[in-house]
Amino acid sequence: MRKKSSAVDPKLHAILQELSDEHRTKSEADAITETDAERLSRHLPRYTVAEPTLQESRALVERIRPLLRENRLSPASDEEAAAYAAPESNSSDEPAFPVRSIVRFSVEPAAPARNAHSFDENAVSEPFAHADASSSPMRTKLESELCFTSASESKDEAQARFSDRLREAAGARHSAFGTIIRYAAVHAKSFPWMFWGLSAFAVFLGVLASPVATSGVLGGEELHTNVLIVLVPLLAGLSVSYSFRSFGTPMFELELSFPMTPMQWLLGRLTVIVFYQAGLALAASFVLNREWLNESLPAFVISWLVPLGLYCAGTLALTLRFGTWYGTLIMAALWIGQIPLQQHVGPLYFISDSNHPHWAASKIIALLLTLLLAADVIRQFRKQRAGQTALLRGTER
Amino acid sequence: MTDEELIQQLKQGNEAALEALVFRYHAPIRSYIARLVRNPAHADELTQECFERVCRAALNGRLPDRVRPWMYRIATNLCRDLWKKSSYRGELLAEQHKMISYPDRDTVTSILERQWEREEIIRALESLPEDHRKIVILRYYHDLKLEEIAEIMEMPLNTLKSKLYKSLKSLAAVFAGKEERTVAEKK
Repeated sequence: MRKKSSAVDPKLHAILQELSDEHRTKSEADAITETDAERLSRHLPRYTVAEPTLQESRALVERIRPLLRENRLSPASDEEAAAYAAPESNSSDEPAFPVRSIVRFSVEPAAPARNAHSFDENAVSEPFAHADASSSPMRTKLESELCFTSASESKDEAQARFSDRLREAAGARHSAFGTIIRYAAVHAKSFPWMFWGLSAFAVFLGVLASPVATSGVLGGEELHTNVLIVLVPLLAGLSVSYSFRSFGTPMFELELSFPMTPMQWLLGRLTVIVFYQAGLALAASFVLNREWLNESLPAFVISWLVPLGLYCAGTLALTLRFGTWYGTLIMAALWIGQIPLQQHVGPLYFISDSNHPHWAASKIIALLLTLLLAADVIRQFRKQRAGQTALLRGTER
Repeated sequence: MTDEELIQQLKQGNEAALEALVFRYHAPIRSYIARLVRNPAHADELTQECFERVCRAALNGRLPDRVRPWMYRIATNLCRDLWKKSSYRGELLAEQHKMISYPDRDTVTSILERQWEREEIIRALESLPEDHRKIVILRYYHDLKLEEIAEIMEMPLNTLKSKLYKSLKSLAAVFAGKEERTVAEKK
């Protein structure tokens, strides 16, 4: 192993460099080849173990502290002594062990405690209460030790431990809005570029088509809608179908095994979809409002926002009841069917613009339906949480 | 402040030195023991025992030249004592059986796959002789210098190098065999 490959773990590379003498003495068959090194680099780092938290370290200190405070010491057994392998010390010259010794010697000033915030001052400073003011250099130095852990060995050690950061993050309190944003931020990472890119592209095409197709005519009847009003809810619904496609599969069961409740999972994904689609549509509305809208901007926003909510809730409710494919197909059919049937459905023409005679009624009905469907979704999820329905399709008894 | 200065302070009963030493070494020593004994409860017990021994030794005036190898050697000896216990051997066998009996299906995400890969590594390490395994763990996972490991293992540096090299080669062979089997199964 003389040449470093990019696929070789730097730590392993360093070890193999140290062993270069061994490498030279080995035959071709016994030598570690570059393939071996890459293979080891792939596997070895995966053997991780959980590290203790700072609270556990503090607990350990508290368990050992009495040993230090006891002034009566039992000599170590011969076996232990062999294990220690310690050199002879000048213990005979040392004074008897003081329980609360005050250390006085000069040391260089300690470095500023960069990571002091990661420590609970009260938890670590108690022993320093035994030292008087004259021991401050030592105190400062040991305090800095406790904040830095080991400056001499590893700078990484000076960082707060991952296990502690995890615990702090889990225990941190956030507002309701902050909590939802946190869930959404986690889920946003799981959405592929296709979701972001295609949605934006579709809305862009919708904006381009709007001036041409606005208030179009179908079979001699005016449609009273806009490309954007038709498109945005459809995109949101399809996004819901896409993001909840794991429902009813082993993947869904696994997702629910993560430390996130089904409701948090649902809320996180819906937030991403609704906020993103609504953001895109809002931007498009501002663009259209410059010249091509024949209604007021707030009315236009309501025209697509209410159906967006309805379509999201509807798709989700149907998905939970009938599975992803049936849910999507039923919702898509209901949606597409509205355009040719708009003269017959009256206030159930949810994708109307504000020029439609039943516009206000249709939005109120859509809003009520959205609330009903949302309630049904919550009920479905609660039932699943209580174990009353099977998580996996095909496992029902 | 060096480890050796801390031990000097510990010898004088300075509790702050104890805290510093624990905060410095708790995570590495516990991880080391956990990798050797593969049981969190045993790892916690032995870690505490290790620090207690360090304390007792320091208070008795038995101060080492170099603290880090000394602490690792105490930890190693504690693990060795545990391995000698028949009750532990029974637990280990049960644990190995549990690992082997893991179903090889329902691999729905990479998380599970990673967990299984981790177990493969544990099994591969288990296939090494005891001292070889310790050397790999100390050098690769705990970043100890070869000289320090030689001190812990009480063996000449060249022997240590040779064993480490052989261990890495053996591990690579085990992983290669596993990869070949996986490819064959996929076909």
